[in-house]
Amino acid sequence: MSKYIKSISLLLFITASLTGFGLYKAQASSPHPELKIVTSEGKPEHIEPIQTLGFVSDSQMPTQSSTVKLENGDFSYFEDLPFLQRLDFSFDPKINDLINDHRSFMRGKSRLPEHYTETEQHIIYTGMESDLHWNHHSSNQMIIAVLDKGSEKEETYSVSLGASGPFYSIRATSIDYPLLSVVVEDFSSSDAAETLVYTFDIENPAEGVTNVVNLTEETERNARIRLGLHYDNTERFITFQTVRQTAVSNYDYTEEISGYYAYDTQAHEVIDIQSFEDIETLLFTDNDTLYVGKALNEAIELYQIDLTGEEMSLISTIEMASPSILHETENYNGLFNQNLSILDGKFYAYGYEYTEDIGRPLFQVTDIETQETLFQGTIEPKDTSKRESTTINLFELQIDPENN
Amino acid sequence: MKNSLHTLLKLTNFELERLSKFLFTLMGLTLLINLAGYIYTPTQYMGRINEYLTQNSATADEAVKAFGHFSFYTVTNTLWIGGPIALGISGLLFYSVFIWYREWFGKNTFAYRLLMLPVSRMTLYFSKFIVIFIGIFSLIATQMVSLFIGYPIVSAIIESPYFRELSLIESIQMNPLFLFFFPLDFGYFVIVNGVGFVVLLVLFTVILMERSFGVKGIVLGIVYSLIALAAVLLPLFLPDLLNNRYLLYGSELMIIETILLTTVGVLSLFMSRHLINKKITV
Repeated sequence: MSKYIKSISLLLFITASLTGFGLYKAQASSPHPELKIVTSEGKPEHIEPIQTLGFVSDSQMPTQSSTVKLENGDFSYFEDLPFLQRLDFSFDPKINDLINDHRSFMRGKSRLPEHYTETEQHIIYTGMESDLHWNHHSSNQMIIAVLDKGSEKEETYSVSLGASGPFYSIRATSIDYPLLSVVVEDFSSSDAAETLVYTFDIENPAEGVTNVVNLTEETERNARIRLGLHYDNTERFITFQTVRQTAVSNYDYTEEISGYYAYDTQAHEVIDIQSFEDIETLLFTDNDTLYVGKALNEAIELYQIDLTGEEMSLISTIEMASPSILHETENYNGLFNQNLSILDGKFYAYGYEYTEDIGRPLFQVTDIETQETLFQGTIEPKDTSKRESTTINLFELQIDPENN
Repeated sequence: MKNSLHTLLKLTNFELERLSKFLFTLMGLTLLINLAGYIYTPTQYMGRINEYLTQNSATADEAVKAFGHFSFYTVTNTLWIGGPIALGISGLLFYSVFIWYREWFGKNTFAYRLLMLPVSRMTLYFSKFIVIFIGIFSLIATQMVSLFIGYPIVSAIIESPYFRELSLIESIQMNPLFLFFFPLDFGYFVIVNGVGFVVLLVLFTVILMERSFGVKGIVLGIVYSLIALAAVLLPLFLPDLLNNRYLLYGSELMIIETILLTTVGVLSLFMSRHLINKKITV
């Protein structure tokens, strides 16, 4: 027995250390701070349609961060998911839901949320071949796939857009079943990209896509088109603004918004919307309605556009939880107003509330008609005394129309 | 069965005896270098703080603003911890080759005596394999114990206004190095050890090829390891071959990789058995 003493000691040492470590780890609390929703007004259930992803980090150790997900009012950490689920996780709430619910349909399809529209009965995917692999960068083939949620039957169509060679980018899709509207940026022109709207009749697919409007020609040739972010994509209108970019040096440029518009997917027309002079103009759409927002200091005035005469009437004045929300409107990825939207009569806004240099995500949900604040509150660490340097930065937000 | 298990135990014990000096040196070095880090890093920080306080007549808050808080994570993120881990990995990698060649390159060709033993030659193979893994886990366990020793040392050296209260597990979980070597995340731990398991099997096969066929064996070994590598890496290139990045989900890719790694491992084991039984002559 004594000749085995070294081996036995080493094995005991390994077993004891691994077991001890395992027990210590099991009893130790999670390294990720527990978060809570602090409701300052309204009811917390109104935040449930909001799905968001964010980084939780420490201002003293900014390189170490964890990814938190807020869904149905509950927080969960990406790092706490089972290993295989983490490998399939998409850092976009909409795509993540689609993968979870329709895994087979999502196979082989791009992972950009603007490529998907959904009705009660169908999910429609619209993507270019170039979205699937860089080898297809000059492909003019657009793939449209329609999933019938009831029968799980999938129909796929491949249609061509103009000539092959230039790069096409799908910017937005909208469905008024069976008519699909697709906003495509076409980079074939040598001077600037053109933004075109195509339609596709899902029930009569033989006809292929039809180019109905060239938004660039209808608005301003030398301006960039920035689209409004919609979470439902079944709205009648696709809102957009034109932006003039002026180079101030080789490395920098200034931007000026030159116009506000909406494309009517039913009448196939571009509606020119008057902006407010010297006051920030915000543009929204919800179901069949177009809204223009006047960003005042601590409130937003919402005007509804009368489509017959294109006149505006004030329907609501909403006091904002923080004046910064209105003036921190986010514009990136060719979109505008990412932090403000209207869905089924509710006005959703998010921003940050700052206390002692630490920003806390702030949400506000207001009923447009009654102007009642349905929810107003922040996301904060549960133990604020221990976690005073914890920062929470949201990077993806989605409002789930089905949960609204 | 009972007899061969007893032989395996005896041979493993024998191999462990031979590894022990090298292993204890690595374990000792790990503890010693870690310990130096647990004392030097916080002492250096406190030295800087004290110098700042006296030179600028500053308060503790001002010093924290200038230098930041100190936590145990600060120490785990230094070369004092990373260095011995790298040393352990390279040391055991070296020993994985040495464990075979030492039998041939001594004053006496001990390999003849070992291979002539009236036991299955695969028992010898498995004993060497097990010993390497005991070495790996001994070093992992040493590193774990070292961290438990280090945490109170660092907490004692750093004065409370400057110490950031991060628990030991928080400090460990924040360091990506430990994510791979400690069972913090079962999935990662199994993958890292699984890959190490297969790499060792392939390495042993290559060594046995060289021992069986000489220079030709080296070429054969390189070709075999390249084929094994290509087979394991092939699924990662499937999206490019099929011109679609989204055909396979990450979890499916991982399952395919696991199957391929198992295949390569089993194949290496059978090849090694063939080589050690039929090709290596005494």
